[in-house]
Amino acid sequence: MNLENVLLVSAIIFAIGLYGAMTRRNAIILLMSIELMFNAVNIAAVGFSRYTVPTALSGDPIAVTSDMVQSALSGHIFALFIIAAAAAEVALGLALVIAIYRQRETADVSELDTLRG
Amino acid sequence: MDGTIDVVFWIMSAGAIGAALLVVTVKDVFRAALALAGSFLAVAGIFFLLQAEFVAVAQILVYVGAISIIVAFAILLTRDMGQGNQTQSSRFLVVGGGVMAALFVLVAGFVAYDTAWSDRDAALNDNTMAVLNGQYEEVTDASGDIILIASTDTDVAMNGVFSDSTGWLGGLLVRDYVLALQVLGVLLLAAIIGSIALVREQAAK
Repeated sequence: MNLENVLLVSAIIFAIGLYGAMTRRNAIILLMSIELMFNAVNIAAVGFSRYTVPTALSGDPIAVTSDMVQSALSGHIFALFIIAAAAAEVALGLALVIAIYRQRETADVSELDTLRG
Repeated sequence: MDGTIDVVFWIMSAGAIGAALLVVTVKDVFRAALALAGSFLAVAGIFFLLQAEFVAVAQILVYVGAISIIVAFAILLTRDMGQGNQTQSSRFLVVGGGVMAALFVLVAGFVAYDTAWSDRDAALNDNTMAVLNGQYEEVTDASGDIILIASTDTDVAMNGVFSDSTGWLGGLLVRDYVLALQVLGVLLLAAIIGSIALVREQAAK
């Protein structure tokens, strides 16, 4: 287990999400695929946090302060904010799907072409 | 020990990738939602292995606990969608999407393996490593600044950044990232109000 393997797993899950978002026409599956991609990005962020050296700490610092070591946790902070933003996004997205379903009796994104010229 | 972690990591990864494949291939939407919850759980396991306990627990609470349940509710509220894709995806999209996904993995994998990443465990000196992974204590140096040094004194030693990431994350969230945290709160509030406004039954006019 090293950074390369973590990034490879992250890339594979992201690609699967990308494939789902491009090929599936069900709006709910589309949202799930986007969640998969969010998750893949989180894996990469936490992986970088675990395995790489923050700039402040590289080059054998003489005195270590808490501000310097905190930068090692940037990836965790990114992941937490992405998780919260994804929660907001999925709540709104599913509300949209339900509202559209009530009006159009469909959740197939290829049938939603009201704005087509 | 390292070998065990490797085995667990590859099991978790295989679970996450397999469940993710199920999400995008299974016809039944509800089964896809279940596979999605499984994939989230496996990713939480990977977070545990990466010493990110707090992120892993947040992932289980928010993704497995909340998002999966909302998705299940949305599927039940739009009932006939449980039958899956009524319209088949076109061959063109499936082939194109597959090629694009494969190319993405190739490029990202090449970059991941070809780049000379700085290796944290090799690059840091023993003192910094102890502050990150072991235990440290705070001392005041000659110029009056508080610096952190490795410590084995059980009375004063505190857990390092990755040994106790929850405490450090809490400190970061209410100091350095406090503005982002507040904005995030407003975003969540706006999302909740927006969702309610969207799905509310329209009052009869």
